[in-house]
Amino acid sequence: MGAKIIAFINFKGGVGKTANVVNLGACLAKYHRKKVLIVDLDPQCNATFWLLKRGQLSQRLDDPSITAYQIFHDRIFGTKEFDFREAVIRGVPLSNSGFSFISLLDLLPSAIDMLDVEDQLHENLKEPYFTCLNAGLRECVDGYDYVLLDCPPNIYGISKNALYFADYYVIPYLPDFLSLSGFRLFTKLVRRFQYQVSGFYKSSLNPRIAAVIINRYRNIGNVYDHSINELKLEMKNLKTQKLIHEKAEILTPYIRDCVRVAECSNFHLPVCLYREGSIGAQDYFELSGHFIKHIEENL
Amino acid sequence: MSLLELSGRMAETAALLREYADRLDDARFVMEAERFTKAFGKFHQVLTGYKDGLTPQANELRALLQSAFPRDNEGEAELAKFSKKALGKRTTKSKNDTYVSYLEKFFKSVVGAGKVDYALLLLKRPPAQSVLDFTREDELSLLEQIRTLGALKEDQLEVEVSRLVKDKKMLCKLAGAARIKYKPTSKPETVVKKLVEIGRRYYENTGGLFS
Repeated sequence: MGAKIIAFINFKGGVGKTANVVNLGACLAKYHRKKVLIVDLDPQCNATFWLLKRGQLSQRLDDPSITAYQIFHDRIFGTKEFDFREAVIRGVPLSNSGFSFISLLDLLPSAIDMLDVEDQLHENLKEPYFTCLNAGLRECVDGYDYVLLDCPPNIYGISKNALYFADYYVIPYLPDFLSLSGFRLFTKLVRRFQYQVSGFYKSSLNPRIAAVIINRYRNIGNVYDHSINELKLEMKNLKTQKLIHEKAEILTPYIRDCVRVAECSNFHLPVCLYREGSIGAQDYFELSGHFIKHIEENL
Repeated sequence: MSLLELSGRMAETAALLREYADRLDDARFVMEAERFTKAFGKFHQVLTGYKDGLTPQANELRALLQSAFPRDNEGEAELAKFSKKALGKRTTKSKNDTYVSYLEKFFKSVVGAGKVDYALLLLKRPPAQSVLDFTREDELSLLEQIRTLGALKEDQLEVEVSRLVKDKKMLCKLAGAARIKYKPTSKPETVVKKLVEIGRRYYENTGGLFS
């Protein structure tokens, strides 16, 4: 079985995309022995900064050719410099002396230069602009069980590359009305994109939004519960309109608002390593089980 | 010339007088003209109402009203509700009003407001059937029914509210789906009111315009 490529995407910012990718990826590798690759596609490099310490980062910051940026650069300028084995960082996070904490978790880091990619993507290309990532990375990921794509908070060129490359999309979500309306718009944008690419990829019209992860859930009154009820009703509407996968689910448990999750990025660790007993770590552990079941059995 | 025509002309003249009263630029004259105009307007309205009260439609309404509501306390309460529907506000009931005098008061108000045809329409309409479907009781189906509840117009909503107030078991399930605390001491009416509020929110955000 090939790698399952999952894009974590939402064009609303601050909804927990990077937190989900890093913490879920860590749980899949640590507790379920899945070989996981995190691909940071965000020019803000949040996943990269989260999992690498300053000393480990410095070389990458100086040399974008050993980051995901090079995949796009090669396609745009016709070079062949991207070397996956050199770019990927094995067994992140690493201790100060370079020992791996989770041997099955790898990272393909991002670079600030990814910002230029957005401007350059539509120039000099002999192939459709949204196929760069697929063409540059598809063969490299065969040995993985899961490839988790941490997308930027927009739906421009890089995100469209992720949408084209991924098998399924997972939507990190905050339970409020603006997220709901954003989600509704996002499904329509994805459908529009899928129509655009349908000439290149026959099965591209299948709805691929397969799951929603609720972040920063708080059990106060029933404010959040009503928003989640609205999401459930909306997902039923969207399934009827075939805008999301017919078996799309809200994954459980919801990730509760947890100070340890917010804190762990300061220590360049996923929460399951930072505070294994915290509610955040418990939620991600249980979520990882549901995630595997949903992706491997339901879809 | 009939009395009605005469009163009509007088009311018109009074209105004309009111129009020209400003020219005298004297507050007293304006006030008297105002009183004069109002009195003739009222006189004409009463006369018209009396005439309308004698139409076949008004007679039919009177007969229907007498048979539609039982002559007891419950019937009187239903009549009061009906008066709100027909006139937009409840007909005031004084201490001395009997069932018959209250009915007559309501009838006169309807005639006076020129709403005989509308009241007849309301009375003749068959009773609304419930549109909520409780054949499935999973969480999503219950949420959909709450949303449906929030989308209903007033008449239909009244039917559903009275159904839910009686069906406490279903009300409890709906309250659970909507995360409303339902204690044994909770008044069903209060819980239904909350359900309708939440249903309206669900309909606003995930139904109607967006569906």
